[in-house]
Amino acid sequence: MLESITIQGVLFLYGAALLLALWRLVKGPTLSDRVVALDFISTCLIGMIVVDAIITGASYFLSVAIVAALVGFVGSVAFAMYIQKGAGQ
Amino acid sequence: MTEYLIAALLWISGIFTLIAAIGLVRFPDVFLRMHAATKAGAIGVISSLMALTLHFDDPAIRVRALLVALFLGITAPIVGHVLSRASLVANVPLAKNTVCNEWDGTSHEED
Repeated sequence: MLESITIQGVLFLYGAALLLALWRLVKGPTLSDRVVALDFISTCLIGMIVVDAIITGASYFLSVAIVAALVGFVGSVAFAMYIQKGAGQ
Repeated sequence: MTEYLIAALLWISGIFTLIAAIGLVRFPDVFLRMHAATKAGAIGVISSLMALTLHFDDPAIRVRALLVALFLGITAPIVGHVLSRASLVANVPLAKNTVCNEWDGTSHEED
């Protein structure tokens, strides 16, 4: 069994990263900054799901991670197409 | 022995993710922020998936975790490229001390 300092420390690092990304999401000067912050938040979400699967020993969280990765990728590409089409108007 | 390796991989994952978030906040430009967020974030998640691969004994779960890692390793550069190209076409302002910008102002699309 993993030591609790590792688990709490890693989850604290992920939480701090999520707070910094949230700050960039709120403040970001352009739309591209906000989309980059959203993509990073979805990546952090996958990491937290994987760490939680290790902690609880529930392997079915990996399917949740797969779905989150797919949704994050498609959402980022859709936002990128929206940014590019909005430039041509 | 394996538990120490799992703990080391988890710490590497958290530290790389925090470094990516610091780069996302501190860099002056959207392209530099993208550089930090896509590369270091992907390394963080992939190392946590390696820890999950070591933690479970079932081969099906290991193969699934490796597939998620492979998918993230493929899609993170794609997202970075697509977003940087879109924001370059959309005339997002560069940082003030940018040295070189070789884009000629046309998007080269056939539409």
